[in-house]
Amino acid sequence: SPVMEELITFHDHAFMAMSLISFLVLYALLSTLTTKLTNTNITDAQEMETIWTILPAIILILIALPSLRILYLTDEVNDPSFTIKSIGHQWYWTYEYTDYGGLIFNSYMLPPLFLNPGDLRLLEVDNRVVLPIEAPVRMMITSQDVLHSWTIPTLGLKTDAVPGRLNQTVFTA
Amino acid sequence: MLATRVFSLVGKRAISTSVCVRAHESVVKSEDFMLPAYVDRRDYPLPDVAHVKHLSASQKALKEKEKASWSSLSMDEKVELYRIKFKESFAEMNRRSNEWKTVVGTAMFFIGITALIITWEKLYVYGPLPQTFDKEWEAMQTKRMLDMKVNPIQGLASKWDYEKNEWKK
Repeated sequence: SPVMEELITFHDHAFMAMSLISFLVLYALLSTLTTKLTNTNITDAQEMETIWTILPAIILILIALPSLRILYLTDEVNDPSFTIKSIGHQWYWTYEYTDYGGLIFNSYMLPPLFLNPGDLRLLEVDNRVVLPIEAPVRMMITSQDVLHSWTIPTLGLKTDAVPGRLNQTVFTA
Repeated sequence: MLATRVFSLVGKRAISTSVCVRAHESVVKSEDFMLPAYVDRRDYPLPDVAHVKHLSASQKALKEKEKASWSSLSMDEKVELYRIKFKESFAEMNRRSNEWKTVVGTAMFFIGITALIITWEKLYVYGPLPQTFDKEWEAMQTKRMLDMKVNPIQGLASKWDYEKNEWKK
């Protein structure tokens, strides 16, 4: 989904910044360990201190701006036309489609012995969640017993199922 | 025997400046509460005390000769005076060693032992892989994932050419 693409790009950007900083620190460490200089009397270094205060602030701003942009992108209003409730148990999900008549079912993972040839182990379930395409869906997620998390990685969705709390995520499949 | 040793120890360190009294030349007073000690350090070129603390008779004579003009000293006498003052020269103290070979060798040896343990574990402890790791199963799985167009933008389905029905070059 577009949001996930943004997230991937941001991750690449933040990872590059992090790699550059780590490489710089590693270089500084190695040159400190292998230097031949032995001056133990350095007291004042005003110019360098200014630089290494301002430069990290700039780097942090460069990381924070895309991050905030994506954060607000994910909270866009898109007026969902459909609501599904997803309740986590140990260790299955219960889905409720109650907008236009009641449909409630449990969704258990298929054990490896029950897999049809070519199925994905640990991912196949007996009753799947069916979503309408290109319609905004509101997903209400909660849990009956312990903390769970409901995720579709390719759509950039992850919402925790907290017992006693109803979390909401809106997406367009 | 022990008592005499203790008394001589106490006697020698009874006064804080006794090190200065006993030394044959000047001793640097340390600002922290350490007794002056000799160190061979690159960043402390002139240690607090000389290396040789108790001079033999010939060394004492040499020290007397040092008080005269230095051009009258021979090369050997200059080296002898240096060796009284310092234990190792800068070149000797900075020399490389072969310790790294020992360290790297030992580390690789233990990594090898770990590899042997893991191989034994795979042969005798672990059960067989689930059938989903068979080549045929994986092929069916991949075909199904391509039919579903999994990750079409940057992931799996983006690497498959749907027109020619083969992997993209």
